Amino acid sequence: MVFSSMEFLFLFLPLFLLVYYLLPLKGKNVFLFFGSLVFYGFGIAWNIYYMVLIIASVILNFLAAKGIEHCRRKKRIQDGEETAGQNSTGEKVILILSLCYNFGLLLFFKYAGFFVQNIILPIGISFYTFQITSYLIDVYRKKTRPEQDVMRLGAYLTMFPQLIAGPIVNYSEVYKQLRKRKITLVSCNHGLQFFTLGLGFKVLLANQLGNLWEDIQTIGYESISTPLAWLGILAYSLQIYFDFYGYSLMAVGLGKLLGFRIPDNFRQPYMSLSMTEFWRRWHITLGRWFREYVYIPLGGNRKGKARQFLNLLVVWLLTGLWHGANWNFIFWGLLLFLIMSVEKAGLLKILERWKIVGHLYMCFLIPVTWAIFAITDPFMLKVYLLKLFPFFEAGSQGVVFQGDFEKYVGMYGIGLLAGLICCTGLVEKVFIKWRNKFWMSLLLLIIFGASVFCIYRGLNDPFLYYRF
Amino acid sequence: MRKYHYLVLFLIGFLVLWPFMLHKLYIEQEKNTEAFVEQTGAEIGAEPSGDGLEMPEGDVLAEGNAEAADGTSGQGTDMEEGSGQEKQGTGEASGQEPGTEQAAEEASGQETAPDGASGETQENAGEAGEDAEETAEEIPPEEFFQDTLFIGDSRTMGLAEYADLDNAVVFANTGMNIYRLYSLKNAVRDQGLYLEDILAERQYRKIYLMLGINELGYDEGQTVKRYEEEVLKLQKLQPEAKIVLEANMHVTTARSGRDAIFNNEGIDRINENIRQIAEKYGFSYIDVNEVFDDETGGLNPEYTHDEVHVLGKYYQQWADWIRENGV
Repeated sequence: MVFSSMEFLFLFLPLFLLVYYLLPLKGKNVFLFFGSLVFYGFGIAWNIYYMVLIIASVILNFLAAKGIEHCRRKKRIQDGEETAGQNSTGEKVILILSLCYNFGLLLFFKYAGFFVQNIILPIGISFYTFQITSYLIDVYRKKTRPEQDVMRLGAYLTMFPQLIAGPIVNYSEVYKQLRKRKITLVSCNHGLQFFTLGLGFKVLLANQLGNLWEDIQTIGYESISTPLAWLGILAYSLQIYFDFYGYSLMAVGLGKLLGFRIPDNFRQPYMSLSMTEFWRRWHITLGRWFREYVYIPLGGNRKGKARQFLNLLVVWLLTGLWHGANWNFIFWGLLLFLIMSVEKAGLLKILERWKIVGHLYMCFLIPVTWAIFAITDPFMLKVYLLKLFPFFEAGSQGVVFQGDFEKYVGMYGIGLLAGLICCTGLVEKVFIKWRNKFWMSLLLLIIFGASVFCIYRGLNDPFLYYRF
Repeated sequence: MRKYHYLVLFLIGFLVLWPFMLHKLYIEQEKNTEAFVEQTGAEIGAEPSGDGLEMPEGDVLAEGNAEAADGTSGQGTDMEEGSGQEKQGTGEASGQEPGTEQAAEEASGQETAPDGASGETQENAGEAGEDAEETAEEIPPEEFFQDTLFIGDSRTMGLAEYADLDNAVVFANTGMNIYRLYSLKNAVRDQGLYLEDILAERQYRKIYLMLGINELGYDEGQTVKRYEEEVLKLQKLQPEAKIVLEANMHVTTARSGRDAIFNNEGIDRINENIRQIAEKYGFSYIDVNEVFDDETGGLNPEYTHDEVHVLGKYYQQWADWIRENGV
């Protein structure tokens, strides 16, 4: 079940909230845990193994954290305060074993696809694995205390607003809210506003633009013109942004409705002046995770330039792999590493000094890197890149319909334009400034109505339409 | 109140919508939602909703996508790429050869082919029946589509866009069906014209008609009756034209299996009805499925991405096949 579905909007969410608001705090956490599992159940088509997997993740990591605490307490009794700063062997063993379990499963499901055809990644496993390991590592590092109530930990890990597509929430960010949360009419109002905005981005922009990309698949890359290839990858760039951004906004909004503060995941990334900046503004919580749990433990930039580049290489290879088990993602990660290395080596100064250069540079790099991200088959990727850059191969093969660019601009021009405008952050500015105005409420209501209409029509029974 | 009037408005609106939506959801579940969700994914599924909108295809695909995308891309970038890759991979493996073949064929079609191909044309014309003989014999292949009109849906649109039809006239639009023949505008070449204008313009020598898949949601008897009427009307308006009824192209077997309405059984049924109409009135009938079907009797998955339309590079094969068949 996804947020932009009829079942979620008109069945799950209202019923869930109705019960949720009536329950006392303790009951709220338990209900959130089980309600989220129901939500997850819809998403995995009630695959029992995947359900066991996520429940096991909660219980095992809960026990692991308790185990770490137990070892720590025992050590303190034995050694006194002298070595209090260090982690005991027991703690290390528990941490390593449970990290192996968590990442082992993630790797298994990601890479099984390389060898076996029919294994489907359990939805959200990339997200919840990262989230629960962040909790465990934080406990080990004494950045946070281990949770004493398995229901609370369950609520933290499975909380449905962020379960299947992030943001990746740190345990310390919701520590307080798991124990005490304030839900007011005003906070609910804000939550609904964010949710509506996100829904609009997802349904009205991302889904429409996704069609252009889909149309290009239907034609086949061999038969598109160079202008259409660029138009297509522009549409894909906008789609992936509004899809993901919209989803994250909905998560933030739902979080507010439940009384949680879920961190922002995007800050107008397409307005960045460099790739380095882009990845500080795109999928922020993922970048944060890699920085916190990979880059800095490896030494970050404190061990000399050479080591820093090596650390960056590791981070970007892993980031590429996280997005999917395919060679193109490795290639994509490597390319990002190269681009950022060049930027770190000096290009950054130029890009930040002459902003227009930075914007032009990103206007080129964003679609090209997304093309590599989007097309998983290396041969098809080559075909598409040759369509984007036809200089390397004189006379492209295949029949090309010469009017295709005009045709698709005619079909999707308005959507593309709207998408480009919404990338600039203008919408958010207008929204924040006038969000308490009555006309803004009406506007949001229209956005909600239009989104529901689109979703509704998507579900529609063709028979009803055919009978005039 | 000022601080949360959206909440209030929203709740009012929501409460008004809710019973209606619950009812809708309930009905959907009764009728096995999944089949329909899948269906709307295809151009054909929701076309009737395209009425009055400029780009029915866009809308329709949007809906399909909404569902398809929701299934996977809800997870942001954590997409399951497996299946997508598979599709592209196989599409490509076979993609190379026909592509080059095609190019060669295309080139030869214009320069060297006349002798060779005209021989074939005549041979085939013999088989095709008396009807075909008189026209096909005299016409060299490069003039094969001279004064020809194609009428069809999105598949015919693709044919017009990606195959070389010389200067044939094409009247096609996404979602075209027999009921909307005179109410939809043309979306290829001479855009914006109605069929009425195109027919009034001149006398055609040949008219190809491929319609029927978008009608699958309608009552079958009704559709067949209407089809017959429309074909006869066409003949009346264009008495000199030789009318060729085309069988509808299959969808892939996989797609067919997921769909309660737009499946190959339905397509075969309508095709059989079309064949009978052709027989009854002595029109020609051709079935392009022999070119694109796989051994399971569905559209070969290697030829298509969306399981309904062939990839751009394969339309030329279709056009060449029509030429070779000589009808």
